[in-house]
Amino acid sequence: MNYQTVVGLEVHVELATKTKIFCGCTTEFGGEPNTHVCPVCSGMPGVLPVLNKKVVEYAVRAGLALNCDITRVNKFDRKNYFYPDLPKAYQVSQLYLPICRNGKVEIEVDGVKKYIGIHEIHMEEDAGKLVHDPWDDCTLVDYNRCGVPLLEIVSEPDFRSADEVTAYLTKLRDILMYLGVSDCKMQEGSMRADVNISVMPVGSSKLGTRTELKNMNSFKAIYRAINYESARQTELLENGGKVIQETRRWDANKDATFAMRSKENAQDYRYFPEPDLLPVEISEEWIENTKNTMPELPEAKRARYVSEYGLSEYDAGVLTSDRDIARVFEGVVAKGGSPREACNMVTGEMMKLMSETSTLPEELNIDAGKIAALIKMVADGKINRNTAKDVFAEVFRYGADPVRYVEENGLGMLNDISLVESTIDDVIASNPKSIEDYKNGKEKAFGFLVGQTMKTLNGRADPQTVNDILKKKLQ
Amino acid sequence: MIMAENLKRYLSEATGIEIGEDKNAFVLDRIEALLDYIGYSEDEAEEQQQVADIRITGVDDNLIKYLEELSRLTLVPDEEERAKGELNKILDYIDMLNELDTDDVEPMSHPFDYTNNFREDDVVPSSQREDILVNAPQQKDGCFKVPTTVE
Amino acid sequence: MSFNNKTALELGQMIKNREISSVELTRAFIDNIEKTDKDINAFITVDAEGALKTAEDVQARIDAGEHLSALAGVPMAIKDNICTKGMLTSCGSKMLYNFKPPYNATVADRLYSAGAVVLGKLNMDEFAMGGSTETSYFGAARNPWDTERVTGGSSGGSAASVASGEAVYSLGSDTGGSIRQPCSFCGVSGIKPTYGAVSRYGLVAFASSLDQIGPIGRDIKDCAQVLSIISGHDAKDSTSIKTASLDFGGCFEGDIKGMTIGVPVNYFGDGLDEDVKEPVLKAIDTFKSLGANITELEIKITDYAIPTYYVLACAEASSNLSRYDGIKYGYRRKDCENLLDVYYTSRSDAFGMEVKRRIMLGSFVLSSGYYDAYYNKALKVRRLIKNSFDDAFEKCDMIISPVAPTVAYKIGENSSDPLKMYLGDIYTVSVNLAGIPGVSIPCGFGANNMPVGMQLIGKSFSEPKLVKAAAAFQNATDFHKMQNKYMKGGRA
Repeated sequence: MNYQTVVGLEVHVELATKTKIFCGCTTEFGGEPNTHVCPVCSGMPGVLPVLNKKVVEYAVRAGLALNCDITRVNKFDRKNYFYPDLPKAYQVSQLYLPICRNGKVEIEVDGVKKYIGIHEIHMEEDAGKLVHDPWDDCTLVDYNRCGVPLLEIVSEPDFRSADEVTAYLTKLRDILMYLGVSDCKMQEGSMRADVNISVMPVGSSKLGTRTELKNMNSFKAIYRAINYESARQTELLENGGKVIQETRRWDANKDATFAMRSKENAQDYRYFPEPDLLPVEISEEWIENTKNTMPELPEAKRARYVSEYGLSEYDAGVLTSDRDIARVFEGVVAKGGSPREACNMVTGEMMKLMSETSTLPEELNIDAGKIAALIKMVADGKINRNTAKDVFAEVFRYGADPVRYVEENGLGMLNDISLVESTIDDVIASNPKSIEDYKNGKEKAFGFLVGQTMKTLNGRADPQTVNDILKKKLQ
Repeated sequence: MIMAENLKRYLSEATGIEIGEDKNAFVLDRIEALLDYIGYSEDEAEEQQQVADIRITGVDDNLIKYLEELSRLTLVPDEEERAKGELNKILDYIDMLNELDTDDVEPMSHPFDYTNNFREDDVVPSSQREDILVNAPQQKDGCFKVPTTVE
Repeated sequence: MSFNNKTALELGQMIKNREISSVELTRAFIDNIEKTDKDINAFITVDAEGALKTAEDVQARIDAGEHLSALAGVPMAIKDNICTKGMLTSCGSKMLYNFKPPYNATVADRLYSAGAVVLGKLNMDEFAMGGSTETSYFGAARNPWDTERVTGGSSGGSAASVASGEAVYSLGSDTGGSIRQPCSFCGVSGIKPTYGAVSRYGLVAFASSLDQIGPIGRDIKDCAQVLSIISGHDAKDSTSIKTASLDFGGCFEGDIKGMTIGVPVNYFGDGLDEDVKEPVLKAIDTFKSLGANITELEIKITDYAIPTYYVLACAEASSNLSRYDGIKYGYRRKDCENLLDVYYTSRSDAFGMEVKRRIMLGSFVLSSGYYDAYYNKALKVRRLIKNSFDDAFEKCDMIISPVAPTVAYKIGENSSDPLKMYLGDIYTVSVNLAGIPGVSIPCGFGANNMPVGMQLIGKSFSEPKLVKAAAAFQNATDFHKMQNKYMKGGRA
């Protein structure tokens, strides 16, 4: 029998708010242990939560971008369990009425498009951090991350391969970063996923028993773990075994999953409505406002670049692959650079330099106005293309002003036709052999003569002009 | 699943038709689809059974043990016996709520209908770490200290 | 001079008039506590030094011409489940036997700003679970009218301290009757405010959707004055309503002619002791003679209030009390081998039996399979109860009822049967479930010459109206001025 892999994802994304979900402590990453903490987020007796409005705004924005229904009156619930990283011994989350439901995301794998359903998105708080202290054989508890706002995005079990999962995660990350709701930095744990994996006979509609991998924080690990786990389950079933519903751990070094020591009893979280927080009511007006102020998403942007700027699908795809690269491109166009030239400059020189200097898109600090000025100089014939490349590097690396840089380094093209003519005359005079060859029909010799002229003029002449004059003189 | 199995068994007993291994999954799938269609939920049925059970048999030792575990409490055997008796009495008393028809009543988790009390996303200085740790039974390196947690 | 028969407003006026200084007054009360509290056990913490220092500061500010409030410089005390920065806040539990909060409750901040002199922290049932203070880790408080008897609870220390003249007024908290019932037992006045009228920030939670902080005083005017200081929106409490603080202007003298007071006849049937019923019925006559219209009605649904209350309160409590795990604060058993040990031993050692019982009941009604049958059912009945009160207030301005079915009983008499104890809350819990205000004022004496209180219940934010009726009653009667031997004996 052939088996089909089935995957569902619960993706946790840290929101890019300045403060925690229920108190004014900073969400800044790092910091000495327990220094981004107050009585509220450390669960002191008597404290109460007050909801950060930004969290709701971001959740609505994400929900709309992922085509969800927004729950007009949504509520928080308490999820009760004991663990040292959870100071109140309950996590404030949303079970009964999550803020977003019934969404979908289109993905494409090998040219085949399909929708992945979003079951729900809910708001919740992050837990603290536990560090094992081997010297003392104890655990140290740091509440700095406690109360950092999270969105949990729960997909339907719609994935049928690891490639689909990767495509979805990439798309989800792009969208969330474009929306500005999260920086999705996996290495800082601001995007992580619980992965549910099962297999079922091809053609069946009945899902198999699933296993869960918690807190996976790299696309690569998720990809490998899905393939490993689905192979493991298939082998188990083919040999007449049974998959046990359990949480497993991915070991990247061994490239395999392992069963975690199972808890004696299944968790009973005793969810109930959080009495300390009021229901969140989202008005029609709120939703309309959010829609109107929603940043353009990658897909729409790509389509617009093609239709409005006449760029190729490919170029549009490269430009929109990252919000910050698209930002630079649009900045150049806004400053009057032609879209075609702006695209060439950004996808060519800029991306080359980014990779040479290991610059991340979010670190880009280049003045779009300067790029536009550079493009204008080329268009106006003030410099030629090769010079433009060198100047771009100066702009990129040192923030040079292109106009002044060209001026100060004498890189501008010669407007003095008489100098070009006299130079050409010199070149003709000192290369009789080449003239001879040209007249005998050797086209190559013409190129040589142009090159010689350009070289003598330090590349500052317009090659076309040199071409024209030389041709005339040799007639 | 349990209900579907029961129905399948009943079907084959009533009709005398044996359902072969090869058709087993197919038949169960169909029965479940039917149960789905009529709105039967295994979980709900199980819950109703569970609640019915406790009304008949009362709180037993297992349940007391389970509640101790959920609550992270250990009672001595004497206390367990007492707790069992008292819980039974209290649950009996609580059962009077079933005299009321509440089918069309919206649950009320807050005593009023207000919504949307927010704060702006403005940073407020955090506490001094000493203040956060001052009551900790044990601390080390600016952290709360606990015996090793086992995953 | 005796200060004990003076109200907080009177003493505040005397301080303002320079007839006495806040420091003198505070010292007199500290002396009195020293003498009296051996018998009463109303205090868990007495902060003599801190109180005198506050009194000096407040006096200096008054001398400098600052107007802090009508109660500036008057000594008072706070229930031990309200956080006071750096001052033990034990909740009457071994679990928090050493907990000194690093922050002030909003009500404490507001009182300090108003020039209150905090004498210390008051005894209570453990985590406010009980109706007699017998579940306190620090031993039961004793009723100043008869020290063999309970004070009521859970704010027993708050009521007893005022009744014994150890504090001029106090703060309590009320989840199911915890202010009103001890007021009735001890012969003092108290208000359980509308849910959301007073910030809960810094009140150690028992049942978050029911808890409210409220004042206890010698008469209703003092209570109203305190309430005007502590009420009003607080940005730190999402459930605090965005209104101004309650305004009692003109409530203390006005007449109540034409006011309609409802009498729920089903509150006066079986289960109510005759010696309690009689004074409450007489109070109804008094209101009639003051010009109020009396109308009879029935609120049958409140028969279901107690089971509803215990399901909801215990469910919330089981979650609220989970944070006491021996890690961040409070008690931890020494030398625990592993993490589970820390949890189990700390919680088992440090919680009393009543708290454990309620945590387990709460865990049960929320646990998988039982949520709908118990917890959700109770949430629905809660709405029915609220609706019934809404209906009742279509017909009347307020409702009058007993506070408790009995007068204060003997210590140890009731504590063996939890269900019987729970039934003592029959007249009070529905008010918390509906989130509406209730006032408890003395209206006579029952068996063994123990005080009896009555309750006035109104719709949300009708405190001024309730205070007006209560003040009219107290202007016409002397029950609130009766003195027990401690009150009489207190001299400065």
